Amino acid sequence: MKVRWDFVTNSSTTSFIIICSGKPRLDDFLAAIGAKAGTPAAELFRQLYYVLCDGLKPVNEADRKESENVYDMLKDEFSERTANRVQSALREGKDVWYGRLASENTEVEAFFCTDSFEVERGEFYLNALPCGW
Amino acid sequence: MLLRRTSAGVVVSYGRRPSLRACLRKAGAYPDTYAADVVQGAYEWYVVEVVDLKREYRLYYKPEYPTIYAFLYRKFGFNKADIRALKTDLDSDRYVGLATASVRYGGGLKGYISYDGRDGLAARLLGASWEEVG
Repeated sequence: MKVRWDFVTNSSTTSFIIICSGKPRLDDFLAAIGAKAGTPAAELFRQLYYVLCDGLKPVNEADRKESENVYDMLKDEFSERTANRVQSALREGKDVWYGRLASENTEVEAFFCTDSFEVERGEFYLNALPCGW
Repeated sequence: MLLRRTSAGVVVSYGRRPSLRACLRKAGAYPDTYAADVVQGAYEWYVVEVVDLKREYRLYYKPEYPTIYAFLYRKFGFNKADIRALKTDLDSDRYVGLATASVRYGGGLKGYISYDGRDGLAARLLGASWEEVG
């Protein structure tokens, strides 16, 4: 959880990372989330998948803001544990993707922008822990 | 189970209370996963944390209002179209509950799913029918 001390508005953007091999695949994502194919839950999370994939960048190309390097940016935005995990994943040749969710966009994006969660299954890992109001 | 948007809030009605397990199955969420957390949030909001309107009337307001319709109209602000739509359920053995707005802000996920137009999303997740009244 992050505590924000500056001016807080009624809209929000939050960041997330995905670790996997290659680009994130829908079936891996649904399996990690726990939604059975062809059900209302899968319908909802399929929409989330497309939202997440839209604007996804390799973590090394992410906007580092004031941080000197990706490690510091991840440590600041997520946690030291996440920064270490990303570093290990990159060393192992896995793909690490970085993206943002905004509360002002689609219904589904706004919905998940306000919930803090982390899912993992097999080689697929999604960290959206900085999300939440 | 049926969810209806009314002028007083979202009303849930059913003959037999659905179990969380049944809702998870209908939604297609595997237990102990993030999908199950989301469905459980919707379940708590629309099945657990609701005001039982018939019980509320019977136990606390019957001497004050001549009918349950008058009670809903004056106490909760249901309009006449809402009451007409609910009449069959009110006159039967079906459960009729009102999802209140008390944790709408700051209630995390379960508050957020009921914010503005998102109730239909919760209904889909619970395998419920969704109806806009009025």
